[in-house]
Amino acid sequence: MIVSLLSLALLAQNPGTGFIGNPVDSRPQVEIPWNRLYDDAEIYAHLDRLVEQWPDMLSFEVIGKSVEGREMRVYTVNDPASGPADSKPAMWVDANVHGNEVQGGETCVYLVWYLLENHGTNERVDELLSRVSFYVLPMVNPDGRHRWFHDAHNAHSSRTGHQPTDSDRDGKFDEDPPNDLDGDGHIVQMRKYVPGEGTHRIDPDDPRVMTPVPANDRGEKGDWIFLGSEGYDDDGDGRVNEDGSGGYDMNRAWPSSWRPNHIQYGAGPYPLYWPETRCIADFLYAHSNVAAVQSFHNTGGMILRGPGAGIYGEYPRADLAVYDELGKEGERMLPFYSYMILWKDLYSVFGGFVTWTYEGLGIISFTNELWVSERLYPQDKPDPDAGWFGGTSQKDRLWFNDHLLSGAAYVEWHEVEHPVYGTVEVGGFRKDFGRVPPSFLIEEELHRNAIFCMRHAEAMPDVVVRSHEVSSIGGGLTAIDVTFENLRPIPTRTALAAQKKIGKQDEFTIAGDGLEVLAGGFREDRWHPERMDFEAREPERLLRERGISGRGEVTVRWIVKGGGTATVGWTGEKARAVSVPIELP
Amino acid sequence: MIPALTALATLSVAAHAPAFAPPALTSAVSQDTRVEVLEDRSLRLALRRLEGDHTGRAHLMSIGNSRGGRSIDVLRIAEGELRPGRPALLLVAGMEGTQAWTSSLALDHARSLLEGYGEDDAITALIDTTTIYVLARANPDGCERRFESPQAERLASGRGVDDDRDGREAEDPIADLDGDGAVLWMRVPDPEGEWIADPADPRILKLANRERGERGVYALHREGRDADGDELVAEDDELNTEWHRNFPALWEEHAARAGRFPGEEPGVKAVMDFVLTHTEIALVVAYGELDDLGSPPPKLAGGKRGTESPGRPEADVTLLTELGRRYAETVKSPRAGSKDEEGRLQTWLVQHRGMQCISVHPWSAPAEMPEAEESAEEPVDESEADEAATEEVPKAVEEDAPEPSDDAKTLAWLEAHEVDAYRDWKPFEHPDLGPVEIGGWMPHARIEPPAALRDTIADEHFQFLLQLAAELPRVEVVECTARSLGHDVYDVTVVIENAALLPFTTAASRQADAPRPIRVGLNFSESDELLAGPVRVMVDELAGTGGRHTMNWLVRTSDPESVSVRVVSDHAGIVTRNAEVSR
Repeated sequence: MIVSLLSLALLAQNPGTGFIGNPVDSRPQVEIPWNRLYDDAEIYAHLDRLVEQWPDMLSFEVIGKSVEGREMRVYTVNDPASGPADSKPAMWVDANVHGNEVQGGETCVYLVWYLLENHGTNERVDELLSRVSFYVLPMVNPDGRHRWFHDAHNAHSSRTGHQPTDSDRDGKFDEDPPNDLDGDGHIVQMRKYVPGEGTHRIDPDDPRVMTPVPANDRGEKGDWIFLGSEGYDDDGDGRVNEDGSGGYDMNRAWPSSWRPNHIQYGAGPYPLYWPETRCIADFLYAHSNVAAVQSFHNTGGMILRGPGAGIYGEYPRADLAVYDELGKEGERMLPFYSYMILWKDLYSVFGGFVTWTYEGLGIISFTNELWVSERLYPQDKPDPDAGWFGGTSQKDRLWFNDHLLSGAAYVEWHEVEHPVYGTVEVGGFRKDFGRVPPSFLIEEELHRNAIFCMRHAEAMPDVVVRSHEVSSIGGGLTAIDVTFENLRPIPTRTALAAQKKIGKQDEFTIAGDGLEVLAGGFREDRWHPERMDFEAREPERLLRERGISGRGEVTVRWIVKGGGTATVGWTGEKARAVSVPIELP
Repeated sequence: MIPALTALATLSVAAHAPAFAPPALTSAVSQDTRVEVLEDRSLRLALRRLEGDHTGRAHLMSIGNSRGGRSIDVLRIAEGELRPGRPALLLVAGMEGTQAWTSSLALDHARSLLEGYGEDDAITALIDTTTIYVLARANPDGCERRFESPQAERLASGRGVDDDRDGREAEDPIADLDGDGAVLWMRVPDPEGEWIADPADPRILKLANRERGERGVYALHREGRDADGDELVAEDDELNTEWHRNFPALWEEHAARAGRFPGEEPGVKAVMDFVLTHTEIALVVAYGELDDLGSPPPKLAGGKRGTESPGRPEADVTLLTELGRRYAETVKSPRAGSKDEEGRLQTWLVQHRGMQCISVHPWSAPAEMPEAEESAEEPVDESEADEAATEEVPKAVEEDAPEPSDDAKTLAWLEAHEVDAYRDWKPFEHPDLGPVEIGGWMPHARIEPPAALRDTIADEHFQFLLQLAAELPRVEVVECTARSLGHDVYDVTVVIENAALLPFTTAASRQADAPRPIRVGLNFSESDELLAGPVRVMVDELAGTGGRHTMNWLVRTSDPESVSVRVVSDHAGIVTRNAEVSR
């Protein structure tokens, strides 16, 4: 009680306007520029400001350390007025397991900020936070993120963690990374002018664009050759840039359908090998109230679910219905995003995170791949041949760079000296173009994805006692029929959890002084009370593997002798417990 | 956690239980054996003593702790500098909780190695050139349960689960209800039961075969209660995870015995980490249930990417068949072990880490009738021998006698070796089931060899181990010549060879990409020039028994004899050789 009075008191002192999305008469209590991306320290610094502003609603714990010793923090958003975080279904949100896939970190911060800013002034947010809590881990790979910001990289590199790894099996570790020849912080492409001997030609309209010489019998040659990514053969083994820092994929480390490196690149020697992954697994095992999972990646504009591998088979139909509903809504909230199945529509992933949180833990889980290049020209018809990575041509991207970014996203081709190739030219897009939005499109992406998280969280189970009926069945015996309803689309136990016997069964209980419970069970037929799956042994505690389905109900009948007050209730792992007293005649 | 619960279990039977006693053996049989089954503390003491007696050559290291806080110890045996490339052999025992005795086998080998140094040429040469890691008790928590009261065959030592899913854990464990010190079996007359007495030996129960008109008369349960009244007896024991099922290959998701994720057991993670940081291990020999030598492993099945299957590629099966043949020559009575590879250490080593690993099943009671001579007295002369032979006709030969079940044969064999292997069925008033009979196999009687046989088993397996150790792959440079082409240009040819039986890598390891290849590099002075040839060669495969690989370079040099080749491997040696000029 004291805690809720405190939050009321705080509201009275500092009511705030909320910042729900209306542009006039709103002022956030904590201003965070949402048109930029932040390194690992800055992400935590923003969240620290939020903790300072709303200490009763936001807290964090350090659940482990990365390879390079950075803190792995889980932030808990919870309204203490309605109970502690673990008494409610919780949504787990994380991001940035791939070090270069950074904007999910900002999405996590935005989600937390949005909930806190609008708590107390918006009914929808208040209703949500009265029922659920959030566990948010903004950076699964803080080392990767830090290096992507501060070291020379391109849009795709620093995906890995940074434990020294002998990627080329030559006995040395991380000895041949890419090399930033001109020290500008970006790893771009190399080309060389070899008049009459090349495979590429400069495009007459734009000297930045190279087109390959067509394959025909006319004997044509270009003047340029491509030499790959900026760098040279550091270890003299004949391969260039083949053993950079790290060299693994922490999103292939999770225990379900895990396969070793030679089947699944990047998987490491055993599941949860890297400390970042192990501490997250430990946290999720210790918090069985997690009923929804989102893990943000980039890129491609996708709302992904498993299976990760075709050999797994189909997910149970009842759970697919939930996925389909949320996925379709997500497509509506997120322009150009597609709801997709990993193995079928994208590629095989063994040991992925959201396939584990569903297949191993029984939680409805999505991975959103943030940013899709169609957003550069939303007015254009999408290219049907684009493929999953998005289909904006290089020319279109360069036009965008020139006209909407004042030419600053592209590193113009310029000469540098290469130790082996001699004089070459380097040029290409900066690392912060292609997989992350340009600054002015960031906030929109954060908002839409945070709202998708809220929608997913709202879908978590919520159990109420819808009705109850007491009737005499003769012989001094009473039948008590209680209908428990789950108001939300996610079942209290997913079909997969029931199938694989994950976690605890739901419990339906009855208790009362002077009450003798003879039998109890789940009614199967509204009109025929005898059609029920009954239990005569310990009937005051009935267990149900299937739980209560999404937007479904279960009617329990207890046959009792005696009077007074009978308290009936439901407890389960993924929704708040509920109980109701019933007066018996 | 575990010690406290053991104390509780002991308390509950304190009223009736005698003090703990090892499986009872009749006093007539000799107890004298080097291979006693040892508790954790005694084993550790013995290893420490070996280290002390052979300081400098034996070194005991802890590679981590089990869930129960027990140190997992490796005894390292080596003489001379531990340089990179020096190969190592890892001997693992005590993996399954029921196989505690194998730790003593490994300990005995360690002792034989250390005592043989300086006495036996082969042992001396081995220890001078090869590091031997003895992980005598890989699973100390599991093996320690061998010594728990009441005695029982317990495989689980890790995290427990709610087996019957009633929201409570461990409310129906196995228990010693009649206070005889052992958890046996209960048979209950039951028209729905599946068991009948074996006509060949009515003490033994076998499954009724409906297709043969046999109707079951008994239900069979492990000794325990049905305290929660769910009609399941002894179904919810305290612990569930089995150490030897918690490894990543062929790991059974959602199986209680396999743990929630591979490496969840700290003792499993510790052993995996040890293997990963010791790439000098060329061969793992694992003593336990699994058996690669009694019969070869199955061939690896193919399938879509990511499909898992037990077994090995064909080339590796061929090698193991040969090793099985050599094993049968050295070990006079090899016993058949199990073939189920799910979640085991060995499966991870072979399929995921691409290592050479041989599972040896040192002993179990055979399902065979005892030899006639073993149960008859020694005949004095021929005529008596003939009489003795006709009188002592084994039951199985009599025409009307039913074929004994495997269990009946095993019992006959054990009893002929004076092992107290089976308790007769005794009536007991069960608090939940009413009148039952308690009896059946004594724990570990079929697993631990009779004392009289142990020294021979140890000697034979030690000999086989020495044979294996002598066949570890070794890379040698058998040719390094610089043939003059004139004008200071030389054609440098290097041939490397592995003369040992074991190949440098298995076929399974070439599917995995884990073991490092052999790295070959040519070295010459700055004034020399490499005209043609690879800067560095990575050799993934070098077959056994003379497998070779040839490399060539064209070098311009004024001093050909200064050109040298350096051959580096993690587990088969490092060799440098200068070129010999040939004209």
